[in-house]
Amino acid sequence: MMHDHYELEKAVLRSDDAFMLYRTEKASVGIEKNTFAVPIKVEEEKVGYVFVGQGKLVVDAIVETEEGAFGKSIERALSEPFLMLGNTEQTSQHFRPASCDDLKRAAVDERTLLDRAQKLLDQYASKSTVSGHADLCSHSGWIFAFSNGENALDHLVSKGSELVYNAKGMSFVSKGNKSILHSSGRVVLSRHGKPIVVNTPHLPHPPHSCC
Amino acid sequence: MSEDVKEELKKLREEMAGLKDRLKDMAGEGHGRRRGMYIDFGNTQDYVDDVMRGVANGVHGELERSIFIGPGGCRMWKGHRHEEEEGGIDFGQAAKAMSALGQEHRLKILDALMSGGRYINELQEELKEITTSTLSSHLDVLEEVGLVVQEKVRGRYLITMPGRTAYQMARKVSRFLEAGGEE
Repeated sequence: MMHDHYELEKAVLRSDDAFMLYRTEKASVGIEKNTFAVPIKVEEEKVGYVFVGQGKLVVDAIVETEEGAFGKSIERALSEPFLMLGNTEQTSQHFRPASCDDLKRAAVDERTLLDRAQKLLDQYASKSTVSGHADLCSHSGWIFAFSNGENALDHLVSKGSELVYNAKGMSFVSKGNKSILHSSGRVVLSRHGKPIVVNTPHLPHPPHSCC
Repeated sequence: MSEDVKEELKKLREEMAGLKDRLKDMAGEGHGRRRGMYIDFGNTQDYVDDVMRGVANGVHGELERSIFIGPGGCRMWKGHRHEEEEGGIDFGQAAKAMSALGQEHRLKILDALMSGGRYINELQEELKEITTSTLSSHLDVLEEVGLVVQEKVRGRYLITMPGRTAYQMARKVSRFLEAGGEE
């Protein structure tokens, strides 16, 4: 289990402004002003954050084919804590240490906020079964984990133009001109616009990260 | 299953294997170079593997009893799927789609989208006779019934699979009527 590799800093930060944490042609994750963040460390190196506040996730889980598009755009308000692993350099520029007044205004206390962040990190880390580390170069790789309110996590994993989004009831993979969407009892695969559509009423949905 | 279909499936399996390999590359060790940060990709990698494996296995097992749409629009129906297809019609849903189609400007919008996704300013450029507000309103109607979908990140509008079918149906009806009902 890789749980021990991740640690939370015991410091709460607050965003100065609303900004995009991540944005590609297919997906974006943004947070609002006054969102709190707790840095995640691996061996004293900052590798990500747990965010607590208001944000928005948008994923265009749409497969574009010569036979027409299939799928939909997912827009989701992020009011529960969510986690980001990836380049923290740019993100850190938008954060300042949260003051007592900041916490008071948001009607949260530091202990509760850190506990919520730790709970999410534990939930994420507890699924880890394989040892090993990945080298994510600056600006290239991202992992987001979102609590979906059902004691499970939805994931958005991205590197360059490659993207995987897995949530309850759907999976979407995109890489350049190739994409796969499994949703609503159907798998749609597109390769350079050429589609294959398979109805899958008997196919269980791909595994979802339940804790 | 025809050779073409088998070949296409083989290619897709290879593509999926390639995607998995790339994801493994993302997660793998041995890139231990320079100043990059080190992140545990372990659980996510497993998880993505499971997703891909699930989809691949499912596609393989289900294909025999499923619909296949090939590049040329070829369709193969088997077993219960055929029966389902011959079943009833959702009159309410069909009526909504037909109603959305029953407007000249909306048909023109679908016509423009048949050649690829468009941003609203591109549609405006192509369909000068429609005002911007009316265009938005028509797009909303088409999107609501599922004939068009908008990418929320980029903002492009795309015609959907039902949208293409509806457009082709409208085109057939138009040709049939032009020919005096004697096509």
